[in-house]
Amino acid sequence: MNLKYIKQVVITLISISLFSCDNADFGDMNIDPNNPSDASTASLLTAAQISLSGYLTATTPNLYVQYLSNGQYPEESQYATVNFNYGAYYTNILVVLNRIIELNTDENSMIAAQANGSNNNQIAVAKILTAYTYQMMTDRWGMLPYTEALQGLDDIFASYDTQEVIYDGLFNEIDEALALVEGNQPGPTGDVILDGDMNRWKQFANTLKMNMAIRISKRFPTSGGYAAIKFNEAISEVISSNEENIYYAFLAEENNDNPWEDRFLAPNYRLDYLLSDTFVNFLVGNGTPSEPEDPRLEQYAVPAKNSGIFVGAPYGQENGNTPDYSFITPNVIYNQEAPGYFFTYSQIAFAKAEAVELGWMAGNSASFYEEGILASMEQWGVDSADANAYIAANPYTGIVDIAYEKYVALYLQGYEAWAEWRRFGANAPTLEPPVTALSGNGIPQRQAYATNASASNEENYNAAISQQGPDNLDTVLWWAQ
Amino acid sequence: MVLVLLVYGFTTAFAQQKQVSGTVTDQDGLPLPGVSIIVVGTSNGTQTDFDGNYTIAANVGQALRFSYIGQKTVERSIGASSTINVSMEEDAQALEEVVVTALGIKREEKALGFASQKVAGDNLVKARDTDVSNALAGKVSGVQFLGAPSSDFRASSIRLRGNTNVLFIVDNIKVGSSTDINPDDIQEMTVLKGLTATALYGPEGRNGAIVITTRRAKEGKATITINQNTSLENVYLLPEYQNEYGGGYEQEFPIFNYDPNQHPASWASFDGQPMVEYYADESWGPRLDGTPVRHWDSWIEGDPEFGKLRPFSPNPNNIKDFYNTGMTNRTNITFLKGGEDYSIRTSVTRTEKEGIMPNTKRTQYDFSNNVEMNISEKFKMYSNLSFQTRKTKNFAALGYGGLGSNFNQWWQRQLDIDRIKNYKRNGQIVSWNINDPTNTRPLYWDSPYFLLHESVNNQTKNMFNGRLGGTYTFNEKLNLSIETRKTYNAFESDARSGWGGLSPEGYSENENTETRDELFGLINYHNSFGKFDISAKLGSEFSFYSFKNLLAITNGGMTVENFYSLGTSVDRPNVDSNRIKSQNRAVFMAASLGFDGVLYLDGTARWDWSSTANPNNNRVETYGVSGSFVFSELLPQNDYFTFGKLRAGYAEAPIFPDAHRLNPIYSNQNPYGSSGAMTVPNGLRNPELTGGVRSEIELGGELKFYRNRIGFDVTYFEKTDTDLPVFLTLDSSTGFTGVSTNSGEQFYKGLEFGFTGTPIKTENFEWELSANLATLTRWVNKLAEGVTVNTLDGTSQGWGGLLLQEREGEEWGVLYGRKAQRDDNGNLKLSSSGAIQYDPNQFLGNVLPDFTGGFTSNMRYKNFDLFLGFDFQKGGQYFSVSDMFINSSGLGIESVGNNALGNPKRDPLTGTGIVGGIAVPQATAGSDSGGILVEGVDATSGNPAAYFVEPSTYYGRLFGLSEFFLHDASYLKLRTLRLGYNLPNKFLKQTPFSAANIALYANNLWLIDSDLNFVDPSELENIGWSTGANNYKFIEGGQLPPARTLGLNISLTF
Repeated sequence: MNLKYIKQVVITLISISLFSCDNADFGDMNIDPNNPSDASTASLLTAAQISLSGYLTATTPNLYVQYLSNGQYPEESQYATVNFNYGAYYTNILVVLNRIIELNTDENSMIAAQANGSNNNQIAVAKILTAYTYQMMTDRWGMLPYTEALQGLDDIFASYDTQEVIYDGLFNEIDEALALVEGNQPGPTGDVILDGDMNRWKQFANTLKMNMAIRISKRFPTSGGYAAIKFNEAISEVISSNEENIYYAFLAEENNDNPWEDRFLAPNYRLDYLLSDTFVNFLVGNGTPSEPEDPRLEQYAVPAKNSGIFVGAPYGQENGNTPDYSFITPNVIYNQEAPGYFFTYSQIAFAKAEAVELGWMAGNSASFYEEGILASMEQWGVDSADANAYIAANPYTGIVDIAYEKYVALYLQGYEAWAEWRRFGANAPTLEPPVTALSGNGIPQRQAYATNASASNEENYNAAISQQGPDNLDTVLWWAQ
Repeated sequence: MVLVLLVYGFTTAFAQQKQVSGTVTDQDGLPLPGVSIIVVGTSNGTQTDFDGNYTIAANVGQALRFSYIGQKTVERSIGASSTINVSMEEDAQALEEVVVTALGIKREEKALGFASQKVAGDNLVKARDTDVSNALAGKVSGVQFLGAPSSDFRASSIRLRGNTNVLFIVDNIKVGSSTDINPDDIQEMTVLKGLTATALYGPEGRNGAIVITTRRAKEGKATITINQNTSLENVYLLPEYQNEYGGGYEQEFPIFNYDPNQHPASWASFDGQPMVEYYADESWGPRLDGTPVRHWDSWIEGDPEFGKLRPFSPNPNNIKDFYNTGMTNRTNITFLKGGEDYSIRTSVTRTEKEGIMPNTKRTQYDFSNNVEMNISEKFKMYSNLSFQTRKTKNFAALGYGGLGSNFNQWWQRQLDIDRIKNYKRNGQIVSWNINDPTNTRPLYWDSPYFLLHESVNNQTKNMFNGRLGGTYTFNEKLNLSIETRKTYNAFESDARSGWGGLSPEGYSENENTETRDELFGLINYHNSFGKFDISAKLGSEFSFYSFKNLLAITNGGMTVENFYSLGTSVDRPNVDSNRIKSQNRAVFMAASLGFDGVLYLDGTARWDWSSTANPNNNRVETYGVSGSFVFSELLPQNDYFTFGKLRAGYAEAPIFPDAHRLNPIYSNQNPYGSSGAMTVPNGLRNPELTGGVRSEIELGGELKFYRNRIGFDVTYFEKTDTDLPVFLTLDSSTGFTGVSTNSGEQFYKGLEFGFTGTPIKTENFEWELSANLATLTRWVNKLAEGVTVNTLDGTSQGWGGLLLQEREGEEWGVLYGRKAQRDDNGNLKLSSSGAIQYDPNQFLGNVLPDFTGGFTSNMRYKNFDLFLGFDFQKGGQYFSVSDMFINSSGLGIESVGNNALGNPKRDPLTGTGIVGGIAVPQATAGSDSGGILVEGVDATSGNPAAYFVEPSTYYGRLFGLSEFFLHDASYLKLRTLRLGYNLPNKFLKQTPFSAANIALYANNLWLIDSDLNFVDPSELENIGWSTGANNYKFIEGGQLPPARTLGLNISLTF
């Protein structure tokens, strides 16, 4: 072998490497074999609904309104956490719903998407759930990125919108959704909430709309005003009985069971939540701890193991000796399939009672009030004689009664109960913050943004804070003012 | 004249010459390239090629002189044979001067234009560590040791010039992890720190490389070495616990009230007996004054202890006694045999380690074999094989909820650990933390014995790596090597969640297989022209990588009691699989030019194509250039200043993105019934993503004095990462948590110092010292357009929301979290009940140390030698979860003792103006008041304020106030001590042994200085907080206590 030959080899190899082989062909090797590149809109919808279900059974708001107290570890009831992350709403629910809309809109994918229901019906359901999600979010934090949100890299610093803008946008989205609903076309598959029944989705949309209208009634109280119009547009198609309650059905299997059961049985086996003394005392009322006035207490809870009577655990305290106190009913905490409610009929009845008081609609507020109590009693399995006796003993006297009864009826519907308690303000049942509170100045009025919110979107975060008020638990939200 | 001589030489040679050829090897049988060979008395000369081969024309009766830096010069006269193989011996004076560099190329150290540090094999095995990373601690400047808890089986890692993912290469084989390497096989190790040194490895070598050469047989001699090693391990650092108060929240014992509706009639006599707050997993309870009480086990029906009262007394060693004395037995036998045309090494090692936790064990077999043979004069073949089988029973649970954390966070001080051992009584799984007398099921955590005996996990590792290759030598100037390599790592694990425990019973299996096949070829050319010396290499490497993972876990419990299988899962088991395949192709070349042993210039270039890159842009180029100037060659020879060199290098390496990072995907999640569920991944995909480019410049110098007895080595480097793929945290309102972008720019710089000295050297006594020190700063120049902060990791909000961040324009690794409010004079601002006020999201510190280093001392007196190895770190901070919990749960020593008034802290508050039962102003406190004094100013008025605060409230309020639990990560540690004795020759003569050594050694001997005396900052576990593959090691996460090893080592050579 001589040098000339070597030189030729070297030169050849160098030229190969430098010029003729800019890119090598590796075929499909870098296509991820573990995760699909294309989506099924049905699976996306299921995933979004699963994620949403977690909020229906959240613990913190049930503590804020003092339905519950903590057991041995009282930090949650003492407001130890001030900052709450809204991230999962956007990244696990809203962006997924948004993708369903995109896939049903984009020419390249809409035909394929029709395998999972008509394009319009899928879009309508995604929009309704989007509106529900945003409402729950804004009711927790107040101002939030909405109009500029979900843009990925196109807008990495979304500005925060006021609650007024968000509510208005959500009403529009609901109206758009209702306009899209095609009763004669198949509803979405993968819909584990209403099984693709578009009539039920219309009910969901209208109930949501009506509920939102009531929520902003303080800002727009006049009959014929902004909120009243929305209310009346929706009222005829809201749910009308407990049979039409809208709930998320948890399954009797570990991956999809009721989170309350997970806390008290597998996998956690903890005893962190007890009935609070505040709530038990309300419901004992003029009765006794063994025979409470409100028959719902016997459905909501069980007597304390050590005394055999209803004992609420002191709110905000460390209640380590849990056999001294009443627990949530085993129908919830030991039941994998206990439902998580979006809307119950009693809510609607109380809203109607309030609307009559506001002059938004005709009718008798006392009878709506009674209907609400009866619906709540029925929902929880109280027999009608006891329910009627309770109503007889607690006749309607005014808005304070609606606030109180709605509060009692929304037991374990944490975020809704907390929002309504704040909205009712002075009319709501009186709750005192614990002396042991670690933060806040009173019962929380909102939750603070995540600690990294100021870092990841600084300018807009600061603008929101200066407009809305300090980023703590105490700043009163727009619709509660 | 020269011409005349040359012509004369040529013509005479032509008349009588013959071709003499052979191979030059070093004392270990490794071929020596670049050995200069001269026909004595002539100017006729040549050099050996890459594989140590040479051919030269000479006459019978003439002599050849072989010389090479670092080796003793050899002269051989030419006889009848035309083959002269030479085995050169080390010149003790210049022992350190040959190093193995990238791709296993042996180079004279003086020719290197970059920093490298050589560690001899016997220095690595001083403390008989089984993990090479541990053995490196404190030995090499620029290497920061990131230890795993020494009481567990997990692997350690290292950070080199600020980066992890250092390449480990054994005999040219890229091994999967440092634990794949048997330290007994190591001849020598070179740490290639910078990009210039590793440029030939391409993108993979960007974080530095540890290049290891294994031992090889010497020619003509069979050697058998037996190395037997036995060591004991003990927990040596535990927090100081209080032993004055027992479990509970109140200082009064709860009293048992007999209730006929609830309790059996036989319990009537228990009425009025004092109990313990069994459910309390903190120790704010009554004084340990010996009061007879009903302990937890006295409520277990059918138990001999049932119904009995025992004193409520301290058990100061209850946690220490939980840990056993661990024992490790390690036996290594190495066979070496070399002949004229071959050399073989076989090594077998068995390691058995009983951990310090009950029922933990590891058994490991390592086997390796090296063979080299000359098939013909021109063709040599070689192969290396190594195999490891390792079974591990019970990796301990780490982090929150692990044993280390439970004992320091959720415990009652009076508990007798022996009584917890028997966790199955009366058909029931029991532990100390019963619900109440009528419900003796444990709360919150199971007996540690239950966890280790029933919730067992097992892991089997099978590792194989090897290569097979050949070298063909065309002539003295040119040769070609081709080799194929394979690494294979397979892990099979299973884990149980025991029947009857707190967690639902369950079982999981996990299988991982990782393989990598490589094909490698290298053409090597070498020549000299007068004073110039040239070598050039051209090579190619193809690499095929595959990874497979299969995980299955039961769901919702299992159907057959006390039986563990996937098939008996109640609900559909959760299954996950992950497959990755990637390919890499590379062509590379290198050229070296040397001038008269004074000036050296090196250049390397490499092109890589990777399947993980964007197919339209999947080629990257790596360059390196370096130079070395040995200026001492120009000075007159003297004994004082013996060696001086300056070096400089520059290199640039791009980085490929990881596999499957470019195309958008959807991720599957658990279905709802039969409805499948898939979601949009939280991280946004970027199809244009590349790996970025790193460039590094390095300057250094070496000086040696007094016949090389004192040596200094200094290196300064700067490296810049541009277009760095950063996973940028996006505000989640974008719909995504982040995106990988090529927008980052980071800058590193550091100084590395090395010192070696031999202050005393006599026949009987020799003392060698070495020291090293390295500084490192890492700056974040840029994140992305408009983005100034990126959060890398953090604790939960409930634990204070401590965040590890990168901030543009700041040093990398800043910590932000809750910080106490202070006035202008630094006084704490207090609420009206003495609570320290704080602000969230405040700057608290930085995780990176200012400098790291170590020093060793090796003394030999006659046949005794004593080795000491120290390492240290200055600066950097870590967050201690144990420190945050230990007093807030009333376990730590600080939660007891006397307060500023001389009263026990835990005594009740007295005086007037007690706020909410938890604080009393100092001014109005009773003289007998308990509580902890908090001094500061009133947050509203700014006036001085001071309160005695009830201790559990005091510590409960500090919880999550990150500032108070950040600790200085500085430490100084005597890691290794070894006292050895070599049997003198006069004894050995009467034995079959040619050498025998007996040694006592200790590892983790003495943590001399550390901010928290129970935390060794060099082994922070940081499990449970790290995001992705990163492990930033900035949290002490409630970890297992460190263990100390004491051992005896006997080494016999036949």
